[in-house]
Amino acid sequence: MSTPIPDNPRPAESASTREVCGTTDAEVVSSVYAQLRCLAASYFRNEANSHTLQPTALVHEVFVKMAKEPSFGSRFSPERQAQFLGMAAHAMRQILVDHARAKKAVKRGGNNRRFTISDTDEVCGGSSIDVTDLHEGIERLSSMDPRAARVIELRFFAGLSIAQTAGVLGVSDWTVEQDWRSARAWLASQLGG
Amino acid sequence: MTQQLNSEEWAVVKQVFLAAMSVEQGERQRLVHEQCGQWPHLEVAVCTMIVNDSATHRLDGEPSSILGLPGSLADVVDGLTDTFPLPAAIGSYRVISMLGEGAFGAVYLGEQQRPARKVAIKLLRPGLLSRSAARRFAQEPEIMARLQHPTIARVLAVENTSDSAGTPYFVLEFIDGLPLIEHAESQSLSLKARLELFIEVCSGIQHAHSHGVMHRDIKPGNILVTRDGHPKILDFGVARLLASDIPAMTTATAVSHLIGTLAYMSPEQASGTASDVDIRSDVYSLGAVLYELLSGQPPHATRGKLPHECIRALREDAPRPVGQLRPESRGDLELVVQTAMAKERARRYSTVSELAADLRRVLGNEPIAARRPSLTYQVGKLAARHRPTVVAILAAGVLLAGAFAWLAVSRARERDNYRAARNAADVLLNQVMTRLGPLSGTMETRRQIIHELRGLIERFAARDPADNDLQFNLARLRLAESDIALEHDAVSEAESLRRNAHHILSRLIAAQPDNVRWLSEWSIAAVKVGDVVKLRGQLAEAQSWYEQALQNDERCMSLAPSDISLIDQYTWGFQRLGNIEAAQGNFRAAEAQLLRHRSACNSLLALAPDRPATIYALVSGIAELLLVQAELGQDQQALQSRIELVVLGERLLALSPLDRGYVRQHCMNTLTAVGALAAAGRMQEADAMHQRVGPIIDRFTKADPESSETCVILVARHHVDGKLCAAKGDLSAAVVHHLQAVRLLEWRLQRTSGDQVLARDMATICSRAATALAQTGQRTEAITIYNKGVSALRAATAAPAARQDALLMLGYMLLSDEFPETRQPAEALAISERLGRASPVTPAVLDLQVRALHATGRQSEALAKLRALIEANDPLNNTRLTAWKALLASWATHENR
Repeated sequence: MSTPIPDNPRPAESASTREVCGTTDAEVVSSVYAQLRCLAASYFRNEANSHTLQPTALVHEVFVKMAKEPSFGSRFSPERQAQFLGMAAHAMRQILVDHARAKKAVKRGGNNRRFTISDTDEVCGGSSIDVTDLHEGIERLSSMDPRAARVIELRFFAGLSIAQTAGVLGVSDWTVEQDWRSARAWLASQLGG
Repeated sequence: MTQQLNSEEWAVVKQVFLAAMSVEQGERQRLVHEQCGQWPHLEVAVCTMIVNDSATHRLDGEPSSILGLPGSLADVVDGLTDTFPLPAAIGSYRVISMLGEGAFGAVYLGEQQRPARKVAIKLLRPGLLSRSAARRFAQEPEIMARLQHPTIARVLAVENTSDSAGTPYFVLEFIDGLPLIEHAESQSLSLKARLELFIEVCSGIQHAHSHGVMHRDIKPGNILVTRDGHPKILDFGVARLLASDIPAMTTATAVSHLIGTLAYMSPEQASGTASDVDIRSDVYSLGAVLYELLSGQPPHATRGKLPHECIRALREDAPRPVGQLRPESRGDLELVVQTAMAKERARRYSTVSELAADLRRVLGNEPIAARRPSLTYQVGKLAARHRPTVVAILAAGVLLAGAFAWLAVSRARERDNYRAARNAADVLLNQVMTRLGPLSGTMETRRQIIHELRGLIERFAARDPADNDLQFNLARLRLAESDIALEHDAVSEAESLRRNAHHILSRLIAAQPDNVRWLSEWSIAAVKVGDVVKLRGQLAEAQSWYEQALQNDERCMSLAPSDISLIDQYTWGFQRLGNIEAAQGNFRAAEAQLLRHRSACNSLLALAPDRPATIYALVSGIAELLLVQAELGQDQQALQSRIELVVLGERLLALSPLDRGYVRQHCMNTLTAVGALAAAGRMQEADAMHQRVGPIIDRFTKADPESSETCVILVARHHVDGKLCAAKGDLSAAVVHHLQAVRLLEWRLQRTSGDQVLARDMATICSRAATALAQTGQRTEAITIYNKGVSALRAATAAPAARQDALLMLGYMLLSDEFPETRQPAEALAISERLGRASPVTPAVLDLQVRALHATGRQSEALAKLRALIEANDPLNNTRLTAWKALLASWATHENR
């Protein structure tokens, strides 16, 4: 299920793109975030023709888009790429949680002065993973073991394989596998309960 | 189970876990204990992790999912995706955003152009309404739109989308505000302020009640408070519009009407008998809201509970007294809340205004009206449980899905623990299957519920074929499915399902002949088979099914004499039989059954006096009896029945003032009775009855001036007024009334052409109007009007599926003695022959044939036929016989001249 990520995006050849054009990391981050959010929102509203949102594909889409941007191209060295992916995965998690919280608030007619439909009109989703619970679980995990939390995030929200995750984090495959296995077991024991 | 470890602890846990996973399963326990036994909480953590790890590996060693939890990211996203797309516009309203969604449909924020304002658009899911419900939906909206009160969020319009689906949607006033409880909390309202706010809410509800509209779904989420602190009540009448009809077929299969959250639902609503729900139900719900407003908690906790638990609690458990949760409300206020939320309706406030009044007294420190029930009473009985509980189906749809999920999880956890899963299923199924009956709610939800239940039951039944309870549930499931099939006009499918259910139940009661629950369901199945056989036109066979059911019901009653629902079932049995005898033309037999029905209902009323359901049954039965008596020529008895109907109707209205169906029926019954009394010369009684019904009619028609019901009643009133005037000799006034009636009907007929009943009414009115006109000397006008009626009937009966009564009427009108200029004997004869070909051939049809024959010049044939009829006829059928003899005499004399 992991999306193939290009191993080495080639920096653009033309001279103009070698210019440093003054974009800062913060801008990159917010730009990535905004793009992801925008794309995700359209999926959530069911406007897109393809039916299921594939967050991993989304990340890839944004990545490719940005890699084509002349102003960003020079920044996509392998280290940047790794950062980008980590950031995108994190952003994806945030977006999904925000959306889930907004939905819950709407249903309960909570603070945002919304029109309520009967509480019984709950839509029963197919998944038994509550994304807000998962989010909290990952937050707690990251206070215990930040690297393991990133492993979970990269694998679940960005869909990376063990090898790719290892590449992003700069550790061995075996480390990733250990981190993943223990983190997963712990999360499952917290959420499945 | 959440755990917080610090990073050192986690390091240990992780390391031990990984070490354990690298050894054989049998070794793990020991290793874990060795390595971290001195920290028990860590040991527990590791063991839990081990358990959760082994659950997620496939045989080939590969983990089955990234998180080791069911569901992938795609599933998560699916769950978050809106099920409803955001359209650009709905009707003439621009859509701005989505405000909320649910299984019901979605609510959008929209914008209206003229006047420019924000609206909320509630778009119902396509397929939510069955065809019959959709038809009623189209007729009722104006009622809601006319509820005008500052506290009620107005329904601005009810329309249908312009696409082929024609989905209905409500356009509602957009209320920018917080739900009641949140508002009270955010403003930190004092007790006094809360009560004042609540009293305002009461005034809105009271206003609606006085206009005949119940809310049925009162809960805090439905009451928003605007920025300037005024409450607005939402979703009025939505519940009613989506509730199904009381089934004409069987009362025993009770309908569950509701759409509210269980926490605020009255016990009788949760039990689901439509006719038992009156305004006191709203009083209860208001009480529940008040409870939460005062204490911060709902009276019954429903979160996380299964439906049957909630309902049991609702019916049996008393909520904690408010005074315990909020000390300021101890004493009188607590008592007010308790009174509003009394489980027995008779102990509640009977109107919302009474509740509000007591609250005002609390605020003013005056003594309240509610009384604490005496100790004896408290210690004594509560109302006996008459009916098994019915789960609120929409709520059930949702909670059920949750319950299924729970089951699925528990099944997975208890791997091979079939027993545990089975027990859980039993509990769930028993509660849901009790009175599953015709389910209300979206077609889709119903199908889903049934589909899932069927799968579950069949799976268990396959494992345990000897388990009778499962078989029982299977039978009821089949019946529920058959109801859905019928709604889709799949008659043969419905029949085979019902026969199958009946077969299963027959086997069951053969094994346990005294099991009342099974026996009673067997009766229901038999009746349902009869119903569907009747649809195919095989009346005699249907009758035998009904007879079997009746016999069986007698048996049930003897086994469980105090169960009122069984008695109900039994009495309806008589009416059913009466109805089917009448349909076959056996009027004598029909009369006998309907008289039995009447006396059974009256006995039941003696036992349980103010039961609307019984009175309704009685009214319905007497209405049938009336028709039969008229058919048998028993005019005196027919008139008595009419009077009885009016008296009952008044009683019914006193108990259930709001049901528009009742009110309409009562108005019509009364007007007809007034007319009949006038015709029989009993003018004083006629006038008195007319006086009494006047205000009721006024209220009914003013609530909804444009509807067809209103038109019908106004016409009937003019008709009767005309008769009364004529009887008192004021012919010109009579003419005015009659013409007014004609005008109304004409207008109505223009909008619904082809309606035979309307045409027949038109013809009746026209002939009366013509008579009146002739009496005042306006013969030409009289003929014109008379012919208007004739043409209306002609047009309506042109179709092959013409009603017998419409054709008969036309036939008679074409043989008028009063207006010989209009006679068309040949046509009348053709009509009588057409009637003769259909069945059943009633005495009225024969009468027409004889007269038509005579009028077309075939006198000798006519005479011969008449003679034969007189000889063959039932000697007890006096009126008809007398009339025929007189006719014979007059013709014979004429012949001899």
